[in-house]
Amino acid sequence: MDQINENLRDDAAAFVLGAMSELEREAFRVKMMRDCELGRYVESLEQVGDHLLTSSPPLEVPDSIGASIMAEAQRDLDAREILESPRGAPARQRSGSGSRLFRPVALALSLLVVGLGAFAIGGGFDASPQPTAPLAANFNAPTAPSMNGEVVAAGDGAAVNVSGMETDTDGDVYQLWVEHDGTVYAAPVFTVASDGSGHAFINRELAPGDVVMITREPAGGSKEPTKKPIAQAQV
Amino acid sequence: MKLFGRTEDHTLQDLADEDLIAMAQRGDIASFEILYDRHKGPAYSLARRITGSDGNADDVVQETFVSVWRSIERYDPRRASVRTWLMRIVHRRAIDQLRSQMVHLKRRADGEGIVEELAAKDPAPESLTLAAEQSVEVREALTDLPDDQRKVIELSYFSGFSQTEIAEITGQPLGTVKGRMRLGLEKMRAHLELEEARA
Repeated sequence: MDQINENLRDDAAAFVLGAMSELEREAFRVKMMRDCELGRYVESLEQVGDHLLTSSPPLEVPDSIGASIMAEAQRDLDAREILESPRGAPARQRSGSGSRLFRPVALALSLLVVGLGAFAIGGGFDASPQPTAPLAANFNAPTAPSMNGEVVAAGDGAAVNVSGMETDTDGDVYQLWVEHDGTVYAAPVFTVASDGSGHAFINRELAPGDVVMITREPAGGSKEPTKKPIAQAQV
Repeated sequence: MKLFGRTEDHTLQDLADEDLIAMAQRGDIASFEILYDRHKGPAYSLARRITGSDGNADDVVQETFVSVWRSIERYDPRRASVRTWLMRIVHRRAIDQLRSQMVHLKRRADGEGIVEELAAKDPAPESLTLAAEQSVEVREALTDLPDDQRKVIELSYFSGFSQTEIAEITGQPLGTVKGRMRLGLEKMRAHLELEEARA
């Protein structure tokens, strides 16, 4: 490591501490890829950085945070069950489903659900009523042409599945809203993965004609929309 | 123990983080809950330290763990331990939030007080638990640094300032700031290696 010149070692420290601009970081990454010795030096400093991460004195964590996280996780599981079961209301018990498989197959499953829903609404094989038929709709996003998504409502909730969302949100989160009979109700916030995909569960029954909207809101969400909807879907 | 569905908590408690992650990747929410319980303390402390407020720390921890649950398949044990992986995410999100809220710009006006302010947030040593011994060692390593080196590390790592901003705040040339960062980290590395060898 002694062969690395001082300027590069200075840059390495700034890189590890996150003190570089994005442009500087990218330029430094290129240097690192070309210089194994530099890469090893950065790794050795990163170990110090990782120690720093846990250097803060312990504080008492409010119980409400854990409750909120686990409720959100449970809603995700419920949403998966809706997507995986065309007739299904969300499961009420904690159960596992293939998280790793979820994203790749989610769209296919959703389309299956949508198809079955349309088939059921249209009468299916016979004309008997289908009270549990899910309602489904695709999002319309004129200002975000790369965005796709659908909302699938069944039972007392609805699963929302999106892709192609903007990932650089500058700290903002996405929030769902439900417009029912002219009143807009706040629904959960969600974030998207680095590939722009995301999903969320609306914990209220949707009726035909309801509009589900997505807006970008400050971290933590808002009580009422602060921006125009990025996308909306009428179920 | 079941691989799917809710497993017995007392069994889960005995599992290593990596095993819990593997189970959570299969959709086992109880495993994820244990992971949260294990790491919530350091995660919240770090978020609180960076964002400077309980409300923002709540948001950061909540967003971190929800996003971890949703993309838990991304964890790669070859790259970092579970704790390090989680803490890096908390760190990034907390810094992002700090920057997005422009808090650091307000603090810039009083840059000289930042290190003291951070120090003042630390609770009394007697409130530290045994589990935090390692964090005490790291803080000692940080405290042992010369003030100018400690300050640039604090300003960048815990307050989200860029090297250019730190140069403005401290009134030092950029090269000096970078040199101090490097010297500080190298000294901390030596200190921690020595502690490890002693243990």
